[in-house]
Amino acid sequence: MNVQNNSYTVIYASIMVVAVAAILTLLSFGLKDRQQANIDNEKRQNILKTVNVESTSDNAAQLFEQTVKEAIVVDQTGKVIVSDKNEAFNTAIDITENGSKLPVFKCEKDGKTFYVVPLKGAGLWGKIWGYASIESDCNTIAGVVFDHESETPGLGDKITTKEFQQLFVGKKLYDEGGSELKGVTVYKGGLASTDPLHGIDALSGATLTSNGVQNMVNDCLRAYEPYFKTAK
Amino acid sequence: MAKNKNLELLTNSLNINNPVTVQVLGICSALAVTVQLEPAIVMAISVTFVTALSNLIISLLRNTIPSRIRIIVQLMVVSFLVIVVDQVLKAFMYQLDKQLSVYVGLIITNCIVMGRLEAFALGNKPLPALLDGIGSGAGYGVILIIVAFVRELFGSGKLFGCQVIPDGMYNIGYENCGFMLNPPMALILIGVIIWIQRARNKELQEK
Repeated sequence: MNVQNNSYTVIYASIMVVAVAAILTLLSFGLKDRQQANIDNEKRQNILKTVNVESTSDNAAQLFEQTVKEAIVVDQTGKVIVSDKNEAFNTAIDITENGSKLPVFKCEKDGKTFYVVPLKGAGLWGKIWGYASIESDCNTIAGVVFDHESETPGLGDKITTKEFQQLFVGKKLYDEGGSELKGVTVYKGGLASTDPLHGIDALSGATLTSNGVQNMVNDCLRAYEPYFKTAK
Repeated sequence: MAKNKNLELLTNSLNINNPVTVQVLGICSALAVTVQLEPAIVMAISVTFVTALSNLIISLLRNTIPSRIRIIVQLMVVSFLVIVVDQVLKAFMYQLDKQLSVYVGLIITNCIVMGRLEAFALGNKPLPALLDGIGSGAGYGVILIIVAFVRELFGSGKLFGCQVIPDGMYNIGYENCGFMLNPPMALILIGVIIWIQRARNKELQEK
């Protein structure tokens, strides 16, 4: 048989494509549950991290059950629309003005209540996301974690470091009068100390990623304002 | 004689035909994943798996592949194997997969893989091709592991994530070398390995 023949080439390529696609599909189906379990565990670990509970992928599920007392989804008016823990866990945050879906994880640690909320926004190159825990006064940030899809290695990707996330701890959502939601503000050039309530030092060399984090935190927390008012 | 030749396919890549230090291929990923030993070893195994099996598959198919689309066929086999590796890592070693991030996917573009397919697998029988693949992957892996060992030991005082430099050393003023954790240091280390290897091997020295 002439292997240089045109029709042979086309048939050869077609069979190859179909065979490879079939094997990969089977593999993907076979491993899907395990992969999803890993992703869920990472989500649990991230939520726990915002309230300072360190966990491994092995004990994450157990610690999550112990720490998270309640998981709900509220809408833009603060009304509870889902109260099932599992369903709330699997709901992605959506802050569109009408029909928002806003998951809240009520955690208890050392007798104190924390509200953990997911965050979703845009960095410089791709999506960024994370979780923030708010103390029971609905004003003080107790902890945050961030992750990203494709921020610049060595610059923007530092939003995942403990050093950066530590800067958010203790920051206030509301201004001194307690009426206006200001959220956090990033400052260039180490000027954050001039604004002790809301100031965060930007990552040097990653201004746009830092701005993305600021907008993500503020936009998402603003969406929760009606809920926080009822919770307080 | 044939046995010796097969053995040479395995050992040459570890020494006088090393893909990283002699052919200078696969440097990019060698810089990126060598901060710690564990990801370096997983990467080494992944690359060896891909080079070995892709060499074997292409060698088995070598008489049926139309030469006009041979590069595409090779790429498809390589991508297929890389996706298998990536999916398996995601399912069983999720944290490590996150650490290796894009570099698992980039095995596809690792010149060692395509280079061995074009240069060896297309013209040789399956067994030598398989051995050549294992050898090339191992040659790459050895360099990765040496570099990662030095970087993790001096960069963070650990091996496999466990502290090996005693606290006493830190108390008398020893400090970890932060530069070790940066990619340029990996390049310098590879340079040093190349230097040592050439100094010891007369065959590799240019006249």
